[in-house]
Amino acid sequence: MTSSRFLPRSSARRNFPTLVECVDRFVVLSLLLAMLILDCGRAAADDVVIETESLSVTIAGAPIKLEAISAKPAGASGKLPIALIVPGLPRASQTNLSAADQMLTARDFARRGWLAAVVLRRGYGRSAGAKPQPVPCDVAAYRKKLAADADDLEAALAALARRPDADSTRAIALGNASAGAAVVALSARNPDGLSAAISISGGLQSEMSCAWDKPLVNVLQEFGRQSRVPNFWLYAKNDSVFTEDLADRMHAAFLDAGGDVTFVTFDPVGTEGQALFTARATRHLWLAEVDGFLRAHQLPTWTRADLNRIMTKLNYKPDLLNSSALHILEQYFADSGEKALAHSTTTAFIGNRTTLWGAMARPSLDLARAAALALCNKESTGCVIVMENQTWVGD
Amino acid sequence: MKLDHRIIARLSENKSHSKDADLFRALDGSMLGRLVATTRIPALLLLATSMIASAAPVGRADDLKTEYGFSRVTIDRRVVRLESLVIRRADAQGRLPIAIFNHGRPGSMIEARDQRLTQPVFTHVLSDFARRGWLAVAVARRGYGLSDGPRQDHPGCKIDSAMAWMNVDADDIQAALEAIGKRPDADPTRMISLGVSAGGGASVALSARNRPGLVAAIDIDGGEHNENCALTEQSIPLDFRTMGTASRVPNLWLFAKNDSLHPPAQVEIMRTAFSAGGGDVKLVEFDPIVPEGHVFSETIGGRRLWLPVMDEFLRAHNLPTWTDRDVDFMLGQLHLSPKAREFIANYLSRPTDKALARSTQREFLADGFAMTMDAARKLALDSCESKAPPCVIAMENEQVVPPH
Repeated sequence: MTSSRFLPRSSARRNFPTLVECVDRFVVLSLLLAMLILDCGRAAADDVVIETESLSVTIAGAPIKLEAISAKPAGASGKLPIALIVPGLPRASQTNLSAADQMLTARDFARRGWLAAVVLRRGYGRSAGAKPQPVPCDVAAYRKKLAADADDLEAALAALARRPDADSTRAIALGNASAGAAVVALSARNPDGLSAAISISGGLQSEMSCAWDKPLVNVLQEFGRQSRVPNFWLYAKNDSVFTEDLADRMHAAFLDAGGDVTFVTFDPVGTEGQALFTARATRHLWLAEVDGFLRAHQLPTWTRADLNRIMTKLNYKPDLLNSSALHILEQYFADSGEKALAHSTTTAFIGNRTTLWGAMARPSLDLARAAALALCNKESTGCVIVMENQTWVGD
Repeated sequence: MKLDHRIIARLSENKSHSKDADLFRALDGSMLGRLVATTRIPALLLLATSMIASAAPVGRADDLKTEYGFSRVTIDRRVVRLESLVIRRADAQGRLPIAIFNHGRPGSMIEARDQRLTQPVFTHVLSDFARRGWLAVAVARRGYGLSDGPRQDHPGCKIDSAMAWMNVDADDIQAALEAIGKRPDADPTRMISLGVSAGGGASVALSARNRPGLVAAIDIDGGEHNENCALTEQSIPLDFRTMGTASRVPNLWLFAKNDSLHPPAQVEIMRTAFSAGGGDVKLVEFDPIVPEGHVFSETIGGRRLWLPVMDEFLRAHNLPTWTDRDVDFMLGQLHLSPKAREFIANYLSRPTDKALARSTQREFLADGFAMTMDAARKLALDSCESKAPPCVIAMENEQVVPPH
């Protein structure tokens, strides 16, 4: 087991225009400040334990190794629920993926209380197995490809469930693009312990220039007949592959066949909605929705009780109808790492006036801390960092 | 003899309290510190000289049928699944008029999915309507609970943002009513939309569309508010004039005088603008409710106040609610004298869960209402036994409890 502080590699996509990565002025400012502020040299103990070993699974009786990374909260004792995270691109033959690209997603789920494992299907990235073939444009081919994907995910889930630190009775599977369709296929098998299937910009695009929407909608209708696992599907309206109209048709087919799906289509994001999952700038959108969905299903994530504990530590009492401090804490908890929260100890907390400044979704904790302090110092004095990621570090 | 009820609300950190007497815990108040209230219901002494058994022709079994699940609706030609709850009398025959109860929005939209219809308050409010003869319905609008999304995000500070928000919410309610109206046990020619806060504002907006079958809109502490947006001062008279000009559906508006989001002066501007446009609105304002008037609506203490007002409104518009016949029937079932009439009438207007205790020694009644039946029974029994012990529970909600 290795424990390391890992920075995500650039998640720039090869096949799609990416969203403009959010290098905002705060990051620039914080880089400058990081050089000036002595305090930023203090290294926080990492709150997440990372493992980068491949996952040994058995598929159709044969052992095989899948590229994987896993993350869990440092100091966690007992068994953790399993979050299986599967990256993908829209086409079956787009295999140029890396589990480490989703390090941040693994960390975000670990910080929400999960044993998070990013796993690549056979033939993707450095996972063993034959490279997946292009999918022809008929429902039998779609069925076959997604059954193979479901085999991989089922095997990965079974391997993870054998870990001594895993709670095999509570698992979720989250997939992007073709892996989104794969988690829906997995949910159609109703595996023991699978509590939810989350598909982000999910679907499967045939390599042929043909009406591939039809076999896709048809196969999802079949899954809807079989699946009894709560599904959560998220799309952006400006997804150029799985368009708003196609997403609606997939949804209606799955739902009307008897599937249990909560369906969210975000208004257009960035320049390409297919990048909803991978773009740093849109992580907070789907993370906040996933948090809400997890809470609604009594699955682990941050809750109001966590916010209340921080409010108590800050000696804040929410007023009756409006508390900007609470709103800031919610934004902070919902957003992606790396993040830090600064607090002004010299400003009185009165009504709507805030004494909290958060810097979220930053490339590193040091940058997040510097950015939060910079925001605080711009408007107030006596600024100290009170939270690093989901951990209280104040007095 | 007049009943005197006092509602005492206080912040829980100030005093210890009965955990069941949690009267003012509100949905809209998810941002609140825990508010707690207790109720004291002075017993009513009945000097009975005779026993009259008046038998109503039909029974009033209190069995309710609850369906929790999802409604498949169509909004802007798109398929949308909304979390839904339907409660009706199990023994009701034929098509029932529809009452849709519309929730508010949390202080932070990030918590929108935490508002589940499985929360007890929805069962309680819908039961209040089901007992009055309605097919009582609640849906979680888009983005709330387990409904499809996305949620609406906080509107910017623009002149038309509050009206746009209410209209999107009204789209959801309209779509839900269209779906519910197709049920074989639903009468889509008699529908009312009521709601609290954002759900109340949306009900007013829906009333401005004059949809066939919508016969009343009830707005409980709902209007336009947008923190730190001075433009609402301009938009409120414009929007309510526009809605009042269009709306031909009777409106009932209920506000507490200490609603900090909708103070009386603002409510008066709403009412004046709506009426000036030709809208039909009855406004009822309640005395200040400690500590915050905006969140009284779906709490049990709040329902104690507005249910009787609503009953009067429903009767005035020939819409279903409990009647004198129901009072007669209960007097008969309980073998009570006519002097108990006012007490029983009050009891019928009480919020769910409620219980009625009677002394075994003389004709003496007391009631209690709370978020659980156990708590309601205890309040009723304690109240009764403090004056005329020993006492027994004679009714739970509207079901007669046979003496053992």
